[in-house]
Amino acid sequence: MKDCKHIQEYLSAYLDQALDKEKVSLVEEHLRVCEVCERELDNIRKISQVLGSLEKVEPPPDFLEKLHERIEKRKSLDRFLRGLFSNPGAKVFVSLTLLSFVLLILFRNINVDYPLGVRHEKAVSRSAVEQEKITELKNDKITQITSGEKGGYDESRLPEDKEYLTKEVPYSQVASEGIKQFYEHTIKKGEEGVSRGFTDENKSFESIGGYEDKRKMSVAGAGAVLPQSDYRRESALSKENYYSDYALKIEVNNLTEALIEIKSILNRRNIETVSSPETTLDAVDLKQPVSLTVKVKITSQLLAVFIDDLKQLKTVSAFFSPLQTPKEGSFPLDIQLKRIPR
Amino acid sequence: MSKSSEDNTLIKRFLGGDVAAFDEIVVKYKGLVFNVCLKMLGNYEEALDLSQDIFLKIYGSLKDFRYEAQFSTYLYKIVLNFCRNRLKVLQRRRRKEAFSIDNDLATEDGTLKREFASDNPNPRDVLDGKEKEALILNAINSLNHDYKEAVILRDVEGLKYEEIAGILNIDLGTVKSRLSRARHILKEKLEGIL
Repeated sequence: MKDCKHIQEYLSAYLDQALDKEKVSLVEEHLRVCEVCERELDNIRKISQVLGSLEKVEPPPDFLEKLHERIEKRKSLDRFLRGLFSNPGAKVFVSLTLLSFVLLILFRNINVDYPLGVRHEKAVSRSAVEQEKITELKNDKITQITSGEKGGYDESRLPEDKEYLTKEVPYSQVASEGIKQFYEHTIKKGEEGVSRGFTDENKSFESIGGYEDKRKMSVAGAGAVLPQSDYRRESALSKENYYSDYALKIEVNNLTEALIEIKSILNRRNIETVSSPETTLDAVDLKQPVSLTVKVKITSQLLAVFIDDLKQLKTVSAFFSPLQTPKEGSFPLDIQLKRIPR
Repeated sequence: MSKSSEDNTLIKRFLGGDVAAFDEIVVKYKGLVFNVCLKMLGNYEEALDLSQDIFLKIYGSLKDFRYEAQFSTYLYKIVLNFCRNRLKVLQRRRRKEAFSIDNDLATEDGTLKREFASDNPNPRDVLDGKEKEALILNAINSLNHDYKEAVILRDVEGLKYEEIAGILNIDLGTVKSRLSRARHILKEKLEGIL
């Protein structure tokens, strides 16, 4: 019958007398004429009765006893924990243990980062392309040295350097040894008096020429761009330091373009250039060194103007100026350009 | 004294430090708790363990009992919550332990074909007249949680629709429809034995 499905939905509630009066009369009217629904109601009644007559299972007689045991265990645990935290010594011990766990979890995946001043040091673990380039630069250097008028260095004296140059120091190792230790290590190497041209600063230096007598000092700088404080320390180690006391570090996208622009500013502002790499050097992007240094003599006032000019340059992506410079008089400044991949 | 005020007195005595009052509560309600757990879980050991867990919980949380509702309503709520959680755990465990019946069972003495207990009740149960009951319990167990709760509270425990609505926190219409649906499914499953 058409209404059966509709009516059968009410049968369960009808059986439990949970239907309102209107629906009760509707169901009863239908049941008087429909045997199917009458049987359905009967089945539901039987189901309900069967479920109601299911045997109640008694829990085992030792139910309460076992519950007491569990309650006692819980109480002992609570007492132990309360005792633990009421003892100041134990409280400190537990707190420290928890704290060390938290710290362990927090710092498990965090590497020690470098301060801004030694950003370049991070490059010890360089990409394969950069590494290749450094090796290439180093080879250039060897050629220049051996073919130079006052050479005095031959490749046979450089195996250790070669290995050093091409050997990658894992970042993790540097991080664990700490910057200081790594830095001291490079100084020691330099003090052996072997020219190594660790980074491209040396290349730029060589391209300038005329500083051969100071080459050893440049090696003492270990080819790294050091933070200002480290520069000073380095000065103490070698009186004739190749590096100036002040460095302006500039990150650029294209070294050649940036160098041209910077030279133009230097000219415009009448800033005395002590030495500078050739602007046409390595004009092809892939052949570009990773960094270059322009040495100038400058005053604090002019430096401020120069920095303002730098801000206008599109090729410059970031720069880090010296923290403190002499208020009066001119001072030597290294303008270090580092190429950052786009 | 009404059942409800009797419960409240016991609770107050217990909270006042009379531990024996808690034992009275356990003795009074252990059958209810255990049987609902048994119907919900369909496993004696699990039901027993869960019943103990429930009373342990009540022991620690009676101080939070508000006397606005009946203790039995409060108790049913806890029981059903515990059952739901335990069923989830059991389902996860079952999924983990699932294995293919086609794979032989590796033993120290070689491999064995896997064999399973028949769904048919064993002859002893038939002789005991428990076959029908086993089938009914199986049928209840096959219902989904919502239908199972509704039909146990109504047909096994004999609660009123309003009480069921309060315990399950649903409206009366939902109680009616869940019950109607649950009874219809059970009728389909048990048609042969009624």
